[in-house]
Amino acid sequence: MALDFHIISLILLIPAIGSVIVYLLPLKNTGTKIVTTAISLIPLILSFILLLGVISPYVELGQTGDFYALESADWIPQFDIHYTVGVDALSAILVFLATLLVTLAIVFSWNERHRHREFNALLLFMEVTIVGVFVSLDNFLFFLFWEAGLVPMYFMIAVWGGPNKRYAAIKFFLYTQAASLLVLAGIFAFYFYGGTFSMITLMETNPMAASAQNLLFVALLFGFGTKLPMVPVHTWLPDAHVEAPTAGSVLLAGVMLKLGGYGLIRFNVQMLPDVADWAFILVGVIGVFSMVYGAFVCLAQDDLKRMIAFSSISHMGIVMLGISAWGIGGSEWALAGAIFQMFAHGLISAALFMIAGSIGHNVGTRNISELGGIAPKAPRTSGFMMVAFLASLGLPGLVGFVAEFTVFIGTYEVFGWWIFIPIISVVVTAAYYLFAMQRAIFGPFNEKIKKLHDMKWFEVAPLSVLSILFAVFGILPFLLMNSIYNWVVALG
Amino acid sequence: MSYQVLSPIIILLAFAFAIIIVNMFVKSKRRYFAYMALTGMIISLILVVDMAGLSFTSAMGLDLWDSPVNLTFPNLKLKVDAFSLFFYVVFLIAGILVTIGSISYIEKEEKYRAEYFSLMLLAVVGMMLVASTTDLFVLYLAFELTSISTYALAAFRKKDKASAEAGLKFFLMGAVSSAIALFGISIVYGVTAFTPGGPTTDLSQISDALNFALQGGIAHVQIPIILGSILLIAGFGFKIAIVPFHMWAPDVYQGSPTTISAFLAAGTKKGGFAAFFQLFLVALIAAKFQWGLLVGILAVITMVVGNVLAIVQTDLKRMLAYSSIAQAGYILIAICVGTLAFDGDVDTAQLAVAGGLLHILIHVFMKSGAFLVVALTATAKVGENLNDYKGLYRRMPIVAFCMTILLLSLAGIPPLGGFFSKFVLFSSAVNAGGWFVWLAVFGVLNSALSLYYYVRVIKYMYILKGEDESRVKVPTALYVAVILATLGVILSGLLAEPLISFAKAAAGGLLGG
Amino acid sequence: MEIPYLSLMILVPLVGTIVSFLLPRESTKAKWVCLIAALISLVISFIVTFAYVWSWPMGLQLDPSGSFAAYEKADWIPTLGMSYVLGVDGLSLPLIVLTHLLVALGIVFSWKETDRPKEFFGLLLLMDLSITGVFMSLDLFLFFIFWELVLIPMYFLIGIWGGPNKHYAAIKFLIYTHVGSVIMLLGIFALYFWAGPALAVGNTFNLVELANAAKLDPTYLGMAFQAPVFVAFFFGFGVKMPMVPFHTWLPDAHVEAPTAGSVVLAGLLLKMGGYGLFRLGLTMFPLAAREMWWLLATFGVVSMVYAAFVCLAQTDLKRLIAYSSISHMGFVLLGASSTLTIGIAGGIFQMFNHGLITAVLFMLAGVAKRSCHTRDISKLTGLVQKMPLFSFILMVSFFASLGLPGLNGFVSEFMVFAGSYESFGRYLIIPLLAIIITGAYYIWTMHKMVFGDFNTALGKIRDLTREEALPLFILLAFIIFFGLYPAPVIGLIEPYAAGLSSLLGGLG
Repeated sequence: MALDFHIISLILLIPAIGSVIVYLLPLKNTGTKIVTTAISLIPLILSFILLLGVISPYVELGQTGDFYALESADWIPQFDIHYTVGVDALSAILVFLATLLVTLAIVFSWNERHRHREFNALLLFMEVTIVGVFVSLDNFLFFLFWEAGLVPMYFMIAVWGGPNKRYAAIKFFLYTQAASLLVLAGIFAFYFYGGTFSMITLMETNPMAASAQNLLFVALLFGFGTKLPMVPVHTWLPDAHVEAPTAGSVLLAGVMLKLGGYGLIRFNVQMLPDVADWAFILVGVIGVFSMVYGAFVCLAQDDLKRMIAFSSISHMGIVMLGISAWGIGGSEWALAGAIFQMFAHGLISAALFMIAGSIGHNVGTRNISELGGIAPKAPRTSGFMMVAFLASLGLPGLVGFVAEFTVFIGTYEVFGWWIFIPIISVVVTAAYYLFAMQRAIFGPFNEKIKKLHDMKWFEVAPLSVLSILFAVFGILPFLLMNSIYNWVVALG
Repeated sequence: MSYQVLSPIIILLAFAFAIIIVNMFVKSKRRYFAYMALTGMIISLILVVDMAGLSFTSAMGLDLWDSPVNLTFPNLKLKVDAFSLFFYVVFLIAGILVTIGSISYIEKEEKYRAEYFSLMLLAVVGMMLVASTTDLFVLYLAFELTSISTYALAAFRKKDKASAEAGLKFFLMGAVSSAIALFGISIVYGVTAFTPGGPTTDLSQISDALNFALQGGIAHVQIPIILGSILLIAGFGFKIAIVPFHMWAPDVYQGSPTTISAFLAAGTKKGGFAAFFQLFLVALIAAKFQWGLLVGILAVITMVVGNVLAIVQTDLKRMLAYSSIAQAGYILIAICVGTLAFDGDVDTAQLAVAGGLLHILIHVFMKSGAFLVVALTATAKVGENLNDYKGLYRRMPIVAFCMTILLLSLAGIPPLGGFFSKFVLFSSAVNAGGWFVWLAVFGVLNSALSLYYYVRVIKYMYILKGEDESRVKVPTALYVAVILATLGVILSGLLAEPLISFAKAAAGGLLGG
Repeated sequence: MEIPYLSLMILVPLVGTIVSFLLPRESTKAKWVCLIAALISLVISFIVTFAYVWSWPMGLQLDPSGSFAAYEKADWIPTLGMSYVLGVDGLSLPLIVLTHLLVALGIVFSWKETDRPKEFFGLLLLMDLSITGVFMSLDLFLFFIFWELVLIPMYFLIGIWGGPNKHYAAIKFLIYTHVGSVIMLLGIFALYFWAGPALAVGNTFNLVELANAAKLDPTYLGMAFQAPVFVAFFFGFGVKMPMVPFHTWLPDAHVEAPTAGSVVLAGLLLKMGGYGLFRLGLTMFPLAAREMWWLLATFGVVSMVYAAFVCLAQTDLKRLIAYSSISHMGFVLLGASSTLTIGIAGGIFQMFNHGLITAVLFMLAGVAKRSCHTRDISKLTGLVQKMPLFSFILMVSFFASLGLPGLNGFVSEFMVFAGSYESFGRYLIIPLLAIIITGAYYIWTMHKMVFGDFNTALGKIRDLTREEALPLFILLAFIIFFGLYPAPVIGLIEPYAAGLSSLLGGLG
């Protein structure tokens, strides 16, 4: 089955138009939700087709070079700026993840009544910008989506956020914008050396002088690393998460952090092949430090959302570790694991933030010390919490394990017994999750809790989908891993 | 000899005496004398323009002269060429504008009306002779004719203390400066006595004599020449009110009847310039190293002092007086750059002198217009002070508009006449290179500075709200004079091409002869 | 049949101005006269643009050398080498369209002006005339005339319809920019007397002849001549632009000016400086421009960064926008300093974009003043409930101004930076700093104004009226359209930028 319609453009266009429609339609809350969900399903289906086209031999997409469903059109022809979009295994998976999480986030926030039309329109708009980053193959276009993505998230926090939302929103905006400047400088450097904004050309020809690559690598590392985020440029994340509404947190942790990882792989790995080893060691050191530091900080958190936020930092460190192991030792498993970890963490962190949001909403507090013994009274909440915590701490059979395991295999291959340092974080992770779980849902019921509802259908549904996917990709990782591994191998 | 080219001067003289004679028999309260003076000057102006190259008399079949006229009368010590014709135009325009303005301004002085217009005609005649003469001594005499006429005019309101004081002050200063100038003339004359040509008062022969003397023909001649130059600069510097010989000007302009202030600033001052051009660019040009730099420095000081002092004035007549001083500074640039003709760079010198002449001509429109506006507001009982001008655009909209145009032109804002003349003037200084460039730099910066006080008047007229906003009845004749002056400023901007050609021809006449 | 479109663009506003001045004192017809005149000029400028881009047979007069889209020439003062030469090309066309557009919208925005209406609208139209004249003149003398003429209507606009401190602001504006102009005048003299003969075209003010000759001999007279004269021009243009440290007239002028005046001032007047820099500074002094790129770059970067920092400390909305204008005009200098096609084109495009954006911003400040009677940011808080349309436009325009991708400001800033990498290398991060500071002050301000707690002291406030909304939405449409699809304007600019770049690059 060959599919050669403008599939990627449609994935971008439909939510874009959808967001305008949703904003303008004078519907009540439920009507808006139904329309939004319906609109978001279209890009989800399309991106699923896209994913199938990349990973399955049975669905054929037009392939040009390394990329599928490539589209290119003149935009500012005078300066060689084009509208070029296409996907490979790396981006197809992330596009699918993004469209999936957007749909789930829309459903999950069924009850959001404050300025509901703007809220849903922003979610769809956010989908455009995130998918746009993943599919862009022109630096100008890439940066356009990259920067534009700040806006909906900024509004999401600033309008629908918690009590300290203004501080968090501005901090988020400025931090990530500062990081964008490094990316922007990088794009200019590429243009100076390569004379083009085409990412494909840059990847193929490697025009940059070797001497300039190391400096640029570090600049981009901090540019993308802020988004990832890595320690020490992570401080915006906990604030942003704590204040953001649940749907915002889901997308922030689930996909926006992946933009950083994607950028690291697309730019640092693919376009700067001549960097010195010390640059990758730097990536590894920062990655491991993020892992360990993030994990230890988690031990001290009382706010469930804050804990999950720090755990995200810790888990994204694994991505960096994988990249580092690939860069130094050429371990394919490490990089493949890193990419898979992005996907896995996307699913898991989405579930975690949904649970935290639902507890905050249904119980009235997210502080672990104020919870306790809620399992009997809120069985669905507790059940999903257990599944998600276990997936996050890397229980075999669930998706997180596969990712971490492959990264560690690669790491061991390259660094040998140094692996014990990152392994510490795994132990600590298990500790804080189990500890938190035990205090929050087991034990005697905390009588101070006044109101307590269990999850409603619109909370259960997305979490069920996510839980099923934990298992599917935990048990059948090869569905994606084959293509990822082949992609890494082709990278050389 | 075709003495008919002297007809403009003769006609004016005839009208001047005719007015007096008619006055003996007709004690009319009407405005006959003004109309007579006006008729004389307009006829004269038409003839002058005809001589300058329009030549419609020959088109009409009259064979009076070959235009453009260029004739010399050695026995009369006179010449009529483009330079003198240019100044004829300048003086006649000033005379005409002021005379029109005077029709309604001089109501109170009806008793001496005939003398007023007669003296004005004589003053114009004197200045025309200054521009025409080829002889140093005739130049002095002609200038005295103008001076004595204007002393009387300045003190014309003899019951008015300010006017009488102005006249007295003007007379004393004028007499002293004339004496100084005469001393300078005698020193120069003395130097020429030692040259082969013998003693001479002819302007171009003086030039040759000085050239001979300075080339080593006479020993120890430097000091007398420098002294003579300084005395002449001081003597005629009083007449054109350059710093530091400017003190009298604001007081006299303020005290005199405003139309006479207009005539002094727009007319007689230009006569001083005619003398200055004749003296320094013809007679003394050979001694340019002795006085060139001094004139340059005086030019800069004059503009700066004039402009800075104008800023602090609140009396409009004083402000315009200081602005007049500053304008004299600009015109001196032409004299500095004009000395290049002596080195053979006639093109640059001609451009500079043309710029200076153009500025003189356009300044006539601007300055007489501005003074006449003040005369108008004074006559209309609005006042002569800056504060009286608040909200003037509601009270007399067209006058306010005219004043705005005149002031902007004085500041050198394009596309008005004042911009064109300054443009040519400053550009010639840049073209000359060397230290002349600094004259241009100071010139443009001063121009920018002057905008401040000109615009302040506009601010009072248009932006500030006056207490009384009722319409004011405007005296017709002054109104006409102001509009004519404004039209002159606008048209000299639009018709710059023929004016510049005329000024260039005049400059050529001066430097070539 | 050849039609003198360019002269018509001067004639139509001139007639409109005179007619509106001649109307009776309190006539309300002046705005119609002026609006119609501005719209006719706008249509003419569109005709010229499209006829140029798509080669429509509209009877454009073309110049012999073919480097101008339209060209009209007549003798004026041949004795001194002055002629009446008008011409438009990729550099001037976008700015001319912008001029007519902003003036027309400024008139619509001020529709309810009741204080001396006929003078107000007439002066706006006079601005239109003189600014268009500056952008079209190809004779230095004519150029200077229009350049100076601009001062007069602007002085009155500030002085008569301005805020409480208008007298000071108006005279400061006038004297400051006039000093810049007269210094430039000396440069014009130098071109006339020295450059012309050295380039074998004689004493002439004709910029086309001078520029074409300079193209053949870009190093004429050497640095000894080019450097000081270039600096004189640079100073003249820099004051207008304005660049730090010659910028202090701008915030005062803006704060006091009426809204339409501010729109024209920031949207168009500042562009005259940039335009002159390209048309005269870079074109006539290739050697000096090439050698002294660091001068442009330094002033550009200092303006960008310094003004952005100053913005952080502003409490008056209009002052904030005024300083942000200084910061954004620094991009133009930076782009010019790059001497690369993309940088030069970016600088020119930045002028166009800044014109659109800043017009919106000043109109918004005007709405705030009209509706809330204050421009103090600390008092204008939480407007989103009471003024949703205002808040929406505020947000979009702030984003456009801080360079958000998808809106037009980004494209030009991107191009400028892309061009500057060659000269700056890794130090490009210094000018990039300006962007983050810009982001900071805009986000901070927007946050307070839109999302803060509503300031109840404001009392009853209204949202946009029809005549406010119309110009704002038209401008907004342009901002978004050119953000997503800048190619039409860039296509217009690029040939000019490429020509200039090859002239400058051909020396190295």
